[in-house]
Amino acid sequence: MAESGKTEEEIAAVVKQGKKAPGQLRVIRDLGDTADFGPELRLTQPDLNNFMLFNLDVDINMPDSIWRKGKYRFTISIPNDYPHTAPKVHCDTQIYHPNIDMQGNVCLNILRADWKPVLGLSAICLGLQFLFIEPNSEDPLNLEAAQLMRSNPSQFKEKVSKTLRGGTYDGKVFPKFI
Amino acid sequence: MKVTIDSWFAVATWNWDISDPHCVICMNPFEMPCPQCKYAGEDCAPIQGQCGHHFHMHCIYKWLETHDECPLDRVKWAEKILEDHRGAPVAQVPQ
Repeated sequence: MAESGKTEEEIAAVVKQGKKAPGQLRVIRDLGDTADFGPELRLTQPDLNNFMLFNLDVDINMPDSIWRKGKYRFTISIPNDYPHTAPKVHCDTQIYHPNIDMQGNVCLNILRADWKPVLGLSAICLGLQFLFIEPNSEDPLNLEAAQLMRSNPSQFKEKVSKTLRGGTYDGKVFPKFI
Repeated sequence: MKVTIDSWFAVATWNWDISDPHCVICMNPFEMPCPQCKYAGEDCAPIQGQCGHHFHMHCIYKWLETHDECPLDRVKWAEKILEDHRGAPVAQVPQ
């Protein structure tokens, strides 16, 4: 089991203060597991007044990812009854991906049907990173991208690398990464 | 010299006799209560499934409101009734 980010005494002190909601206490513990992320996964809290809101920046540098060189930002908002309810995740960077639609909605099994309260923030971050290694055309959100990925993988790859070069596709502006 | 003890305080520590150190739902150690409770102890006891996994009873009951399997191994949840050395059930948790 990974070390908690805070000592038992520190967490006990937070509990005594009685200021933190149960979900927040769990987030404090989760943050301990995210401490050993490499530099390609950066979890930050953008709003000092909202402890339950996170940004995750993912740099894609895995050699076999077709989104290599891309940099994607996700917003993770954690509900108050976490971990009984899964966090909500939105992709803030325009992307062409079978499991992320043009509006930034993300389809990842552990965020929906397969969420379990024994999962945590680090599982979500690693799950999101995994979408760039193994996109899943069987569980699509961008139907057109999923169809192309299934029917013509090389054309799909081509289209992804086109969008990585920036510009407007299907009426959406893509950032330039390569 | 004769010493008379006027009063004394007994001090003891306790821990649950179980292998899992934490409740993996709330991530608190079992010697701490679940996040909804103020005090650890029988009122916020760990319970064990037939599969062997322990959780705070409050944590697992909340999950069981909407599911019927252990959140760790997805085996259908059935609570293990603990027995004392004579084989009598102990610490029955009200259903």
